Amino acid sequence: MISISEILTPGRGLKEALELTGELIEHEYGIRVQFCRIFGKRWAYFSGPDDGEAVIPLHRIELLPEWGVISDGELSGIAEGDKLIKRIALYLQNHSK
Amino acid sequence: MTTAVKDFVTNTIKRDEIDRYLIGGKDFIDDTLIHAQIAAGARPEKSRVRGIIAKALSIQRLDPEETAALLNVEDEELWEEMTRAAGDIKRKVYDNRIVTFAPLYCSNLCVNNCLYCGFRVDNIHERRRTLTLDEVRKEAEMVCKIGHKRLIMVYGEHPSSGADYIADTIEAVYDVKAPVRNGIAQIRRANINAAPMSVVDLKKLWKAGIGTYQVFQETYHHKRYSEVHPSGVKADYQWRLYALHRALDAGIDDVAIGALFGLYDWRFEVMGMVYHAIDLEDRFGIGPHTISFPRLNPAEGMDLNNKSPYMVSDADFRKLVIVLRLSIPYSGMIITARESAGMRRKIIPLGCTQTDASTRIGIGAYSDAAEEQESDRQQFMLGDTRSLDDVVREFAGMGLITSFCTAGYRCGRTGDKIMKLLKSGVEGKFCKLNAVLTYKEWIDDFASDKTREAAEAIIQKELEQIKADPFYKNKKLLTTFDDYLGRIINGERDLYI
Repeated sequence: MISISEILTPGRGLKEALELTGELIEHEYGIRVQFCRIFGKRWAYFSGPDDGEAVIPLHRIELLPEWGVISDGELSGIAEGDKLIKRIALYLQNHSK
Repeated sequence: MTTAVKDFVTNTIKRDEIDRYLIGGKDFIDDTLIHAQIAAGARPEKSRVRGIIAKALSIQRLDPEETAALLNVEDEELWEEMTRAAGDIKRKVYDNRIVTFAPLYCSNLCVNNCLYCGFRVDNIHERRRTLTLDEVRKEAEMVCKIGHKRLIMVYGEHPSSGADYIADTIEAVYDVKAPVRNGIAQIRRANINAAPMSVVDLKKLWKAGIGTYQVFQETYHHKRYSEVHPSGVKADYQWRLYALHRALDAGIDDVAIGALFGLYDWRFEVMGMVYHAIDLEDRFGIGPHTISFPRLNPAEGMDLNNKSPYMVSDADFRKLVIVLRLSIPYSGMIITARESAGMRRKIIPLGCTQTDASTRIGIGAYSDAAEEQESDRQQFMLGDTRSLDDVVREFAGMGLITSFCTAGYRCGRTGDKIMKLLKSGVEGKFCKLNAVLTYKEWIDDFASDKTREAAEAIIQKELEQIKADPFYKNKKLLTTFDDYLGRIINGERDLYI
């Protein structure tokens, strides 16, 4: 698997970057994630596993006011999880500019 | 007509936002082809019909020729098989639950002149009003106190109720917190039934947190459409036909279709809805989230509603619901309180997934605690005005669990994601858990003693099924579910999976 630094590069499309991030998290930590756009109460699907299965929504983290991640495991509980969350949020923030 | 209204009528339609979807200058409804397909489907072979039923049972959307064949079935035995399949499909996709909602009418000012509608501009008997945001909040509070979590907000097409107003009303209802037995109740999903808009305006609704965007074509037949929509923005068939395409392009990923049965031949309308679903699927990978199939009924000052040559009999209504259920098996199906209690009892087992109760459709009618219907402030007359408590109890008697779930769109189960989950049967598994969680909330916060007794029995049955279903065990969901249910029993609210 390529590293998170290689995934979250400015040249990569947002959807692809988040899909690869999700794959990396599942591969490294066994946690399935799905990224969502947040509008009001709506968390709209943006990217995640495309295998006909749902990500069990046990944890929801607001990365930015308009972006969230749903996961079936606690991302902040993994090694350097908080750092990873901040890094994704920063990437989304830069991408939104 | 004021200058503002004239400008609104002149400037609303953006021709380029229609033309971009046309193929060879034509829309996706070919009236001649549909009539030919219905005619060609006559006297279908039993074996062919059974093959089509099997396809629907595998949760595949039917092709128009297959729907046409079902519409032509005359054999009673086959209708019985189709009836059973309709119920089976519903349970496979949505489990044993029925979702309830409340309509909230925000305005009845309208620039259109639809011959069947109480809001039509020429109806001088209608008392016109657009609710202020405070009034909208008050209406939402009353709805919360009944126990509803889900709204369908309805607006006339008028500059006083444009996209900015609609977005403000969505935000207003989400802000409402109503005190109930065990804490606070809130609206958790605001769906919108409003006129077609431009992509720019639709983005405003998206940003405000719209649930599903619902636009009914009313009739898919071009000529008939022109006859019953003689003036106003709504006179443009294609502006309306592509309303949901624009919504999806604007980012709104849950959209809903509908036809007003009784305006034209019911078989044609069913075919039109199938074509609508196909075009949405082909272009966006997202079919209709729900399908509505209201029937014409009397409205103040509307002669058409008593004279239409296409009025749908109860027997044909039943058939069209069955064929719709089989044709677009993944979509939710909504039957409303337009229909009588008796009719709803007959139709719901044919595959319906949503309905309303404690319904008031007068502008401001929840706050006024209006007991009687008032035709001069309603779009049409209701056939069933029973309370939510009565309806929940009846459903329990029918073995159905009433769900107040709004989890999917708050968990990223939207758009093409939810389409796949519905087709694979996975969403139905979530429906079951969330139905129990929200049902328990509702029982503790709102149910009468009589209803509580019936409802608790349903919960026990559902719990037994959940414990026995390997899906929940394999996905390790039972621990979370048990934890959430326990916390709800202890007074916590709005826990969902």
